[in-house]
Amino acid sequence: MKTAILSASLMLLSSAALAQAPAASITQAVESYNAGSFQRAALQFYEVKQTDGNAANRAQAEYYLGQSLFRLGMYQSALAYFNAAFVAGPAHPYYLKGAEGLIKVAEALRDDTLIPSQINKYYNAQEFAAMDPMALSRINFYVGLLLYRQEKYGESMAFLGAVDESSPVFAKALFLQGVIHIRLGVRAAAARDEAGSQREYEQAIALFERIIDLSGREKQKALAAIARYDNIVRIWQLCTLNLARAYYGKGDYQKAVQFYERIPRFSQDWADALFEVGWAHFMRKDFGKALGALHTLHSPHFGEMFVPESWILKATIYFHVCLYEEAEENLKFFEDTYAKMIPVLRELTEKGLPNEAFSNLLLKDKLDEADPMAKVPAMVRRYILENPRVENFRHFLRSLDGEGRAIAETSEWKGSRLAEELAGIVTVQRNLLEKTAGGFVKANLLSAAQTIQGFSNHAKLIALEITPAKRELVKAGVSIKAEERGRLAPRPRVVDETYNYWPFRGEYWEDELGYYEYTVRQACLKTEK
Amino acid sequence: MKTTRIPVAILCALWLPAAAYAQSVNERVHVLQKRDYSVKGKFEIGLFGGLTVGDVFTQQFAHTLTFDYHVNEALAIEALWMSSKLPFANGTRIAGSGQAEYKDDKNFRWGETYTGAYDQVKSDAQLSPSNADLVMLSNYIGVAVQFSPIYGKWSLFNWGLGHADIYLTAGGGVATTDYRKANGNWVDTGTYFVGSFGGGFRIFLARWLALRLDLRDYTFAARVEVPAQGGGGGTVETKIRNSLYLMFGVCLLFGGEAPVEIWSPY
Repeated sequence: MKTAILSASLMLLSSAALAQAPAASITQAVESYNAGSFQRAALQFYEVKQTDGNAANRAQAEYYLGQSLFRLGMYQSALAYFNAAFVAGPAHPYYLKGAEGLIKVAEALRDDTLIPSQINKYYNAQEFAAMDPMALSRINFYVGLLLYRQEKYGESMAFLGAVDESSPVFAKALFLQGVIHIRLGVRAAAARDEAGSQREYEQAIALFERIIDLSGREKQKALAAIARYDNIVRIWQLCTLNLARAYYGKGDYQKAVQFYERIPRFSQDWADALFEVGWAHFMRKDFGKALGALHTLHSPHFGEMFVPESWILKATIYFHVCLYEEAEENLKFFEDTYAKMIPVLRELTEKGLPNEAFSNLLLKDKLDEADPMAKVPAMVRRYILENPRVENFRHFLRSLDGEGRAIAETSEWKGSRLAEELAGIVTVQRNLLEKTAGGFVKANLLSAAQTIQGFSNHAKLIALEITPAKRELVKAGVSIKAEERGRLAPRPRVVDETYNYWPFRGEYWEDELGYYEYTVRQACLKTEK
Repeated sequence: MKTTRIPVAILCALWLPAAAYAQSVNERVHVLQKRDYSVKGKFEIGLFGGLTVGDVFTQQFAHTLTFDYHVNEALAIEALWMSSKLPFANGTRIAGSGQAEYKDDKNFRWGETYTGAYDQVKSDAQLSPSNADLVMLSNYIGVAVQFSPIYGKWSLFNWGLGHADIYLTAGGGVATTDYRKANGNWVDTGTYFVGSFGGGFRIFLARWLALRLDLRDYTFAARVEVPAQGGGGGTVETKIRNSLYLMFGVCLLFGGEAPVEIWSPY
């Protein structure tokens, strides 16, 4: 549809151009474009842009050079010319179309950082009001996303709230608003503003429910919604997880557990849900289920997943049920596995490596031994690589490499100034991408080090608490060995005959993951809390 | 196979630091999960094919149609019809007293035949087995109770998981019987009450599909009237016959509790 409109508008332009002699070469370029000869059209538009004495022709050529390159799948090259039209401001006749072009390129390159940042820089609400509402909605969404990442929540909400209800990105915009409310809820809670925190969580819940309601909660309506909104299935899954988080934030742990348990097993969000439901069970003092959730998270299925907090939670639970030896064992595991990563991560992030050096972690499939990134612990590397943004970086890089090859191989452009200029654009962008990706890796390594350090301090606090607790036992004249202090709790009750009970004896069966439950010895003295 | 009693296979044998799965003496880890293949309240229709095993003189094939209702996970009631002969025409009845004898039998029979042992006894030892030993079930209709206390799962080279239950069955019904004389004529030896008992296992392929292997013994008191040569009073041969059938079946399950699905917007 869009193509048809563009072609039609070009036909009109073509006749307008024909009427304006001496713009013969722009006429040829437009004819080539209309004939689908985009390589030739690009070359001709470039020549017009460079040489035509008529400013209107040059402006037109600039934009359609971008369009021709876009049609050739050379998104980065197209971006340069769309951007030129856009940053020239409203005086440029293709200013708004340039902005629309930028968003198309951003989506094609899966760039949710650089291009939105550029649009935000030159955002002109007055002029943008004349834009196609669907295109404007996309721009508002991407700018909102960018501002959300910069933690400018108020501004972000303003952009996200301006997304049209009929836009394909409407659900995404609602979702992001919900997430912002959760963040604000956390902030309010940290500031001990209980009422404010509750209000934010309520708003988040209302937004997530509204997104799920877009499905009509029935198949036919859901199929219609899938066809209408971008990536809505994933958004629905994320809404479930975030509803759980919002209820957790509100302190309604039972409801939080209900939503966490709706996250399908083996799905993308399952590991997060298991860890978080562990906390929800812990807050409900359902320690057996909390340990059961962590048992799945620590199973071979998840391999060496970077989950430092889960070991601290496990140790905390054991401490709460007075199983001090088990608590100490888990703290030791944390120290041996995670705490020893801190010096390695600190060394990497503090020795002044340029950002480009960090990018190898993402952009290279295999690292040389000499590469500093080879020192990144496997667990942390996997944690970084599992970030959804990594695939975007890789996609962007593949796209740039492909574009570089395509430019070099286009025979019609051989030796032309266009080819030279485009190759330069791609090279500059590739360097910029390496720097950005490297920055992303560095930030994540720093964050991992800080996270471990934070939990390492928690671990020390728990260890400090264990010592006086043991002393109390000795004072009370009872054994510090838990097995001499109390009885093992009975096995959990089987709900009904449609449930199966299996004892776990060290075998991990795939179908049992997610269904573990612990019973522990009742080792606390009656006076112990 | 991992059953409620017998764990055997390890599904995931990946390395993991010891603390990750070590259980201390102060804790137990349990699995409590909804049965993947719950049968409670379900109906099951099965079509079986099989043969008798273990009988010295006779062998026959049979098909069985079963209809089960699973009262709960462990108990089912079954109605079944087993047949080795589809009646079309008995042929010409030979006049005479005693049990009806037919020649030129046109019924469709599933390989009702005698084993090599029968021929060997006849030719080598010049002996003839008792006629009651040759009586075979031709059609059986009955009911049974099925008790399946064991439900388990197994792993085949970690390719996937299978679920099965093992059951015992006992019941009774009525059956028509006959045997083939040396001259090829068939003798209708009457209708009997038959007791059956056996066992088997059911492998679930899907919530609606299962395969079953069934070993079932049918016991009845065969009675054969043997007319005297040249007239006069004949003799009666009786024997407790045990026909052991090994059957393989495909079963469709339907009804029962709908599986609990996590809500999805699809």
